[in-house]
Amino acid sequence: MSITERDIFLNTTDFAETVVFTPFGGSAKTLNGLFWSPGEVVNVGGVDIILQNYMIELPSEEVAGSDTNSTVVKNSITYYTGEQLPDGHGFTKINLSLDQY
Amino acid sequence: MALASIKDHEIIEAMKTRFKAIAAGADYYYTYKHVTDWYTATYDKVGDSPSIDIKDDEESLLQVQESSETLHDIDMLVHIDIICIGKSHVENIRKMKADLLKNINTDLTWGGLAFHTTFISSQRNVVDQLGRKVSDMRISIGIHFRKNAWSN
Repeated sequence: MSITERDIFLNTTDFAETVVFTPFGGSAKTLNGLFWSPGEVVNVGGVDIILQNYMIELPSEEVAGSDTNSTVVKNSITYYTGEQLPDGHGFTKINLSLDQY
Repeated sequence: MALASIKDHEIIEAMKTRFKAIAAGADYYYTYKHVTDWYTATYDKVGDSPSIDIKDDEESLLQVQESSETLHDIDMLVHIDIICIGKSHVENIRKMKADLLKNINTDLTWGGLAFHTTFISSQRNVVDQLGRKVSDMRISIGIHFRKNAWSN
């Protein structure tokens, strides 16, 4: 079996982490993906709040058609899925929140 | 010559004291983590929520009259922002609004510093969800007080 460029990114000894993805109303599956958590400042009520803007990149074919509020569990922390942004090259970036949408 | 009076500052401090005393229990739904005015630092966790930030805005003369030469009756616009982070706060912010309105109504003179307080509006503002739900409700009130002319 040939190794694709995407497989390299999904190798857990290098970049990827293993998560449990459960589509809303569906069955759980274990996937490897790329997790990001940059800080972002939002201004609410005239007060700055710095929040971590969680995102994960997962194989597009595994998450296609899943609805908002599907879950991603990483290190026993549950995240809820928001917007999905397929990159057209096999990955879909998903915005995550600790709170349900 | 005495220092100039700072009635608006005294009123804002009285508001902060009152709101800090709000405690979850039989009378109120929530205890408020931070009660500030014109807060400039940054909240970074759910534990900073819910919080209240007070902003005194425009002050205008209620009525120009002969006595205005010595006394100014002022209408001070005050915005009270309730800031919430985390799940359920989008819904619970309505209870927080009820907390504040109830507290304000306990003494509309702010310990005798003003002669009246009027409700102007309440408005739901930003709801964002970058990693957590965050939301804000702004309550605007008018505080009417008297001060010596050309003092603060």
